[in-house]
Amino acid sequence: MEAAVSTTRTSTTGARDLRLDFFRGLALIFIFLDHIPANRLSWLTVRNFGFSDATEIFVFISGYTAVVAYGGAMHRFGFRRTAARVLHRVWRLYTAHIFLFVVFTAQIAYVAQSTGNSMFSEEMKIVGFLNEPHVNLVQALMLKFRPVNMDVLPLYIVLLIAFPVLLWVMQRRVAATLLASSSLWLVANKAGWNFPAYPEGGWAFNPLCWQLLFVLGAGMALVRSAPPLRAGVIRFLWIAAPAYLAFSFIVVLGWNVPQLAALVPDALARSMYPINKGNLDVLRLVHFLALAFVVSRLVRPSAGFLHWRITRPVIRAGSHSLQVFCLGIFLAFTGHFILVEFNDAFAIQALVSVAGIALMILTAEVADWYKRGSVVPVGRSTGVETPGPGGRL
Amino acid sequence: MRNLTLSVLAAATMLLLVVDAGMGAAGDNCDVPQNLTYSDVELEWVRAALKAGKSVKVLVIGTAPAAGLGVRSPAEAYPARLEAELARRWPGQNVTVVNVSWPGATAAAMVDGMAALLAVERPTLVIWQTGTVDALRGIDINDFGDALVNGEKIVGEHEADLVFMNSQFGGRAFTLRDASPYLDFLDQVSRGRGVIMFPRYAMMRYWVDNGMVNFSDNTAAGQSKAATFVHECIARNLAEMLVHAAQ
Repeated sequence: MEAAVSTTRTSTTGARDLRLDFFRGLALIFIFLDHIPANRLSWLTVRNFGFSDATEIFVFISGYTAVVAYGGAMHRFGFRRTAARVLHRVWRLYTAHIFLFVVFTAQIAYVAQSTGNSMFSEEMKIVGFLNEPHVNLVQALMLKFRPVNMDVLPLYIVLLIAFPVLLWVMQRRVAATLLASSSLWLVANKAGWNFPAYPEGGWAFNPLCWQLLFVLGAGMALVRSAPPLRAGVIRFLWIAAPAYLAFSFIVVLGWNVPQLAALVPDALARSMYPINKGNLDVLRLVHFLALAFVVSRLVRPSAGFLHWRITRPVIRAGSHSLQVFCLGIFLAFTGHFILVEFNDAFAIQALVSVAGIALMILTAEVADWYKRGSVVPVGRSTGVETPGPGGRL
Repeated sequence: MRNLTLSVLAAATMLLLVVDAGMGAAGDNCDVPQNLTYSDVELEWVRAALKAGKSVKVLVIGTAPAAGLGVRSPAEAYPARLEAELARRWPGQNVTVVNVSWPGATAAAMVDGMAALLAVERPTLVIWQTGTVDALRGIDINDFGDALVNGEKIVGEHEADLVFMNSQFGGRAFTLRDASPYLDFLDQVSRGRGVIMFPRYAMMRYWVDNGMVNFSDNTAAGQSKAATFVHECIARNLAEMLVHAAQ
C-alpha cells in the first residue's frame, strides 16, 4: 500500500527530496528538546555546536517547502485559491495557539495558588500579575500574549499569513524580494522594530528579522532548477563555510569550558556578544547558511541513510510538520511543568524527552496513516486534493 | 534493526551519564563544578584596596530584601554571610558588605538610581543581582542588554569593580516565563565586557540535581534548611571567586 502511494506521489508531484523532510523532522525534535529549559538532552542538539539552532533550520526549510507545495498551485489556480489554502493552514496553527493559551491559563492559576519555598516569594509576586485571564485572552487572540516558550508558533503563523503575497511577488522578482527582505532585516535590527507583546516588550522571535530566513528558503526553492554555482564560488565556500563552522564550534564550546573561552580575543568578544537570537544575529544567520551549504553538499538527495528504518520516523515527522510542530510545543510545555513540579533529575529528563519524541513520532505515523486512507487513486486525480502539498507543508 | 536502535539509545544515554558525572565532583557540601567558579577576570579596585590596606566595601544591589528571603534572620542571608567569609579570608582587612534592595526593579530602573547610590556609598566592589524581574516581566531583551552595559559603565566611572549575579533557580515562577534568554544575555554581555558573572542559577541547579538541597519539602523546617543552605553556599562560593580574582 505504502509503495503504491509513494509511486503515486512521485508521478504526480515530482521526486520528493527526503532530505527536507528528514532535517525538518530533526529540527522539530531538537526544538522540542530545546524548549524544555535546562534539559540536559538538549546537549545533543545543534545549538551546542554552533551559533544557530533548530529554529533556523525549521524556518528555512518551511520557506523552502512552502514554495514547493504551493508554487505550482499559484501558477495553476491563481492567487486567491492558493491564498485560501495557505490561510486554512494558518487557521489550524492559530487554533493550536489558542489551545496552548488555555492550558497556560490553567497553569498560571495553579502556580498562583501554590505555596513554594519563601525564597521565591519575590518572583511569585511578579508573576502574580499574570493571573488576569480575561485580559490575557484578548491579548492572546492578537498574538501579543503568549505562553512560555511558544514563540516559534506565532512566528510561523505570521510568516504563513504573509506567504501568499510573498510567493506571488517572488515568482516574478526573486532578486528584488531578497533585497527587500535583507533590508528589512537590517533596518529592524538597527532601528529596534519589532511586533509588540503583552504586557511589555516585543516578540521573542522578531518576525521582521526572521522573515529573512524564510524568504531565503523560499528563494532557494524557486531557483532550485537554475544552473549550479560557478566552480570558483563553490571552492571558496568549501573553505569559508567549514572554517566558520569550526570557529563557531570553538566559541560555543568555550561557553561551558572556560579554558577554551580564554582563546577568544577580547576585542572579538566585545563585538560578538551578545548574540541576539530574537533579531536573527548575523553570526547565527551566517552559521546556518554555512551549515546548510556543507550539509546539502555532503548529503545528496539519494543518500542511503534516508531509507534506513531508523530515519523513516524522523522523515515522517518532517513531512507532517504541522501536527508534529504543534504537538512538540505542547509536549515541551507539559514536560517542563512535570520536571519543575516533580523531579528535575537527569533520569526524569531523559524519560520526558524520550516519551515526547516517541509521541511526536507516533503522531506522525497516525497522520500518515490517516492521509493514506484519504488518497485519491491515480486516474481520478482532480488536481485539487492530492496528498503531496498537504503533507509537505 | 531493533537491536541497532536499542544499542544506539543505550550508547547515547551512557555517554550523557558519563558527561553528566564528569561535570561535577561530589565532594564537600557547598562544592560546585570547577567550570562554574572559573574566571580569569581580575578585580583591580579590590586588589588595590587590599594592597594599600584600605577598607573594602562590597555593595550588593538587587531586588531581594536585605533581610534575605526564606532565612530566619538577616545574619543568615548571603550578604551577611559573605561579609563573614571575606573577613575570614582577608584577615586584618576591614571588609563590609552592604545590601541595597530595590524590589521589583528592572535592570534599567536600577541603572537610573545607580549613579546616585554609588556616589553616596562609594564601594570598592558592586555585586549586581539582576535579570529576574526583567525575565518575569518580559522586558525587551535588547533594553535589558543596554541597561547592563550602561550599569557597567557607571560602576567603572565610580572606581569600583563589578560582578554580575543572575537569577535563582527552582522557583515555579519560571515555569510561566522563560528565563533562559535573559540568563544567556547576561552571560554573554559579561563575556563581551569582561565582567565576572556569578552563576547563581547554575549553582543552585547543580545543588538541586545532586540532592544537596531539597526545595520540595514544604514544612517550615525544611524550607528554612533549604534557604540557609543556599545562602551559606552562595556566600562561600562567591567569597572564593572574589578572593581568587583579587589576588
